Amino acid sequence: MSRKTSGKIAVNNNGRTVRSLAASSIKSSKMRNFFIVVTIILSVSLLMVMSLFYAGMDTEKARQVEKMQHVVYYKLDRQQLENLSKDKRTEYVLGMKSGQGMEVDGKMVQPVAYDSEPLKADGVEIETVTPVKGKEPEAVNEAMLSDAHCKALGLKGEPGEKVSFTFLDGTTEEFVLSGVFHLDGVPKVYTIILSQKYAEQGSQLKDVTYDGIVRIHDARKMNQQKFLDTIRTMASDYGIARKYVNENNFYLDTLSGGELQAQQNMLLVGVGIGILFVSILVIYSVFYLAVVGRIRQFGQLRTIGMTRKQIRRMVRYEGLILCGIGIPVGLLIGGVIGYFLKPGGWSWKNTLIIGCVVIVADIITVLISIRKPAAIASSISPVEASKFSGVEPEKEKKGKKKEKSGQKGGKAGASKKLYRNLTPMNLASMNRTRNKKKTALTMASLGIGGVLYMLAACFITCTSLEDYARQGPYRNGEFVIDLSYNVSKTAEHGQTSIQEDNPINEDLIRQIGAIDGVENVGVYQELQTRWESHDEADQDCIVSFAKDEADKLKTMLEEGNIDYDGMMQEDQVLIQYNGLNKEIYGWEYAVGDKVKLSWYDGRNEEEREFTVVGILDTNDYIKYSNNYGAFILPEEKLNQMANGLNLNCQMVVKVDREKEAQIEKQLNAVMDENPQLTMGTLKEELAEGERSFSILFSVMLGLSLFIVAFSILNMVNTLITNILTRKHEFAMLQSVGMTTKQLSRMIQMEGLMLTAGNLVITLIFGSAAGYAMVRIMQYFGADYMSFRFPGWLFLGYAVFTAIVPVVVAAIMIRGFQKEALVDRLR
Amino acid sequence: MSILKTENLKKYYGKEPNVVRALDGVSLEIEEGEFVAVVGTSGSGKSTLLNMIGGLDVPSEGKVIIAGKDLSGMDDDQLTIFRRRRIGFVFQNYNLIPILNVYENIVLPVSLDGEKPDVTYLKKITSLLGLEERLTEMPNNLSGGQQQRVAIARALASKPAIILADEPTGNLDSKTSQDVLGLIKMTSRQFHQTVVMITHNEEIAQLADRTIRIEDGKIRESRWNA
Repeated sequence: MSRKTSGKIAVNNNGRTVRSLAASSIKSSKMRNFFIVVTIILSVSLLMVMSLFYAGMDTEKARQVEKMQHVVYYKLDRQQLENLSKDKRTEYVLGMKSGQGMEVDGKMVQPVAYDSEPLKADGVEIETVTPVKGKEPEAVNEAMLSDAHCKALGLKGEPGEKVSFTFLDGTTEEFVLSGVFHLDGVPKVYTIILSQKYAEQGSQLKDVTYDGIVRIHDARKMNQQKFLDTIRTMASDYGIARKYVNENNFYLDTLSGGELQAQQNMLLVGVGIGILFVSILVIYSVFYLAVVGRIRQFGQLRTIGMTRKQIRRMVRYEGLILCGIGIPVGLLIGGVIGYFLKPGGWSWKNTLIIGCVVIVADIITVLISIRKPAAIASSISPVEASKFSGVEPEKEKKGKKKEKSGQKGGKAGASKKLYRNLTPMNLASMNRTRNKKKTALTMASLGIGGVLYMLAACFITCTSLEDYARQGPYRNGEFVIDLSYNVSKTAEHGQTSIQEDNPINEDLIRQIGAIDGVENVGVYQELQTRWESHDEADQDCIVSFAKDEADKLKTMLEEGNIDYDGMMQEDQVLIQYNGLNKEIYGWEYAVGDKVKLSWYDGRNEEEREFTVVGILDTNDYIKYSNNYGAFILPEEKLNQMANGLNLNCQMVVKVDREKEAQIEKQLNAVMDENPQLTMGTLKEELAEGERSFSILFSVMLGLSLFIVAFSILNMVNTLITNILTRKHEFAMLQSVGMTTKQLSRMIQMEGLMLTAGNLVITLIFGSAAGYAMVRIMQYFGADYMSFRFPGWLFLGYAVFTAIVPVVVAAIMIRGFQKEALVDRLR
Repeated sequence: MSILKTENLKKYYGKEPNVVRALDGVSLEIEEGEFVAVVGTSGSGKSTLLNMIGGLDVPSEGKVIIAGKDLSGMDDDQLTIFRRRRIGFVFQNYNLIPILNVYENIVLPVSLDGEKPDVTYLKKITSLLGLEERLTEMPNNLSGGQQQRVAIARALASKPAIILADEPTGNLDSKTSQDVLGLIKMTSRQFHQTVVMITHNEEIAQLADRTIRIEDGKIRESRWNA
């Protein structure tokens, strides 16, 4: 042997032997490998799915916004559009017109026309509406409809078909279908796409102002504030009022500097770290048990001359080999699920980056997880190994140096009590001390899974779909009857014109009140008004309050004061929706501000200036009053102003829920008799809510069950390893007289203790976390959430986690009972 | 009166023509209070005999009768219960339960039976075996000799009809072996306890009242020691 070679051995550079030892060790313990590989697969795929989903959402959004406008400027003339297109800051300008919307069978129908060519397009395209059949309208009598709209109209949806619409002004026009575009689901508004020629000449659009669909250069590089400043400055440069600037919030959200985005990123990183942490716990405990179960083997290897370093390396190799199996499978599964969750957001580049990060994160996780077990394995001396029983000696008082286990005569290995009652149950409980750390780890990973599950369970239980549907007027009843939008839009004085001969009169209220099962008919009033303040003018409504409500309203004041009599004498007004003013106009009312209101009282146009004396909390006030007008006056004052007009505008009908279907039929008949009224039902709202929540619920539950699966896997591994490594010990117990029944009860109890510990953690921390989540959601305005303990879901979880150890124990005992007791005793 | 009787006990493994006759028609009788050594070379069938007597394994043929009870008619659970009440085991590798302290290990068979240990009796045993000071120790902290003493105490604790010791000194040095054997002999005398001990060591077998020699699954010799 040359010097060089012997030198190599001395420095343990014989990695091939170590690697092949690791590989053969892997082959020999299939059960442990199974658990570790499944854990790695779960952790990798979970991370992949989550990251891909989030990145997919971003990519999908980014792809969508690449073809979206950045801002829409309203009420433009052709000149302003031209100016915008000449501005260097814009990269795309397209003119469009939106006609008066109308209500047809409960749906809004709106005529819209886009310019056939954009005024400016610096290499960008905007997705407006693309036909799936036929082409875009060109001639003045051509129109394009959505497939859903065609279906609703009973059309075949073939180009060339004729379709006619009766517009708000009563004129009926016939169009030729030039093409059909696709819409997912059933929209609330049906759009009729008309040609540019129609926009210039057609009766419904020729007098309508233009809207400018605009994109600006380098918006991607701006943060949210810079972006808003740019589009607003541009508006003022061309004399466009602030309220006619409608930034694309969807686009805005994709820019940096948003609170929402930062929160989402933090959440994602947090959940990711959580998953890695659970993975560390699981892989660590699987490896720990694997190593502890092979202590004797390590002792033998040490005896025949393997160094500590080589043992450590061998264990590490084993981990890496298992990573090599688990990671690709996890990447594949995660990738496939990720793709199907967000096919629109799939990007190879993202997947590659995420895949690399996940691989690195998981390898690091595995290396961290097996660091300690590898150290334990390498620190075993051959002599200790033969004596190893897996029992941690009870520790001495704190502060004293721990004596080495196995040291003779030391107090370290003595129990405190002479005798503990030796029932199978107590034996099970003593066994937990065998491996306190492992028990704690298993419980911690089960606990994390349990807490996450409880969060999802709380979210589901605490979200009341009924309360969600009952936001707004449905809070007070199951049917809401309003004055018709169509009629009020076309009438000379809008809604007030209908109120002159108000269909919501005493007779109707009595008629509806008399329907069998109707419990209450709530009637609400408002007067339409035009307002001017802070150099802005727009339309809104005036609502009222009674004298005895003044004290209640005072509790909702954000600012100012309420004096009913004072408000009667002086022209004083209360305001709500002040936050909205800030958002739309950039200013807010303050106490003392003036606002000019003008209204039609059935005979004359009236006008008066009011002083703002109080600002109400919008949320509180609406919840209390079901009044949606921005201006609030004393009841008597409003009646004086309206000159005896019947101001009823909405009826909310509360019914006996058992008779709801019958009542709906009767109310529909009433509606048929009153074309000036429209009705909405709680049933429709409920269906709408269910649609939007069911996906969210299943995603949340799915994600949490994924993590629960993780921790259950850990539990099963703990149980199985516990049983396997103690086969000999169980045989000893049986030899001195433990019956199979007692044995299986003992093993089951050990598992159930894990379950019990986990359930306590889940119950305490899960409920607390759930409660906190609901409070936070409530704080952010989710009134439809209120804390309810998810009893059934918790019970289901409890039963499931209790069944697992019982089943595992039963299977394992049956398995080793096949082997004769004497053989197991050897 | 005989406390242990086997009748034509056979244990065969495998099938013809490769059948292994571990025990091939063993009939013996042991009186109450006797200390019997079963000797034989490795593979002679002595351990198999012990397992049959202890109800740890079932014979292919023949009967084992202990204190008038025929083991062959018992199912697994009945055997287990019989074992913990009527048979005490001492194994070569002690087979102590690592999570239980010395005292708990000793009383385990009694506790598993749902009985209260006889404290005066236990005191007597433990002081005889020199374990009084070690009762709260964990097995890991004891020497081999000490562990085997605990195993002997455990075997005695349920006042069994018979104690079966399988190479009880196999893991011990000669000095400790002498101590342990002395203790087994003494307890046998003191408590009028029947002991059947398996060993391959003739010298050790001399300490017993009687030596039974087994070869190829058959009894070749049964003689009283001087």
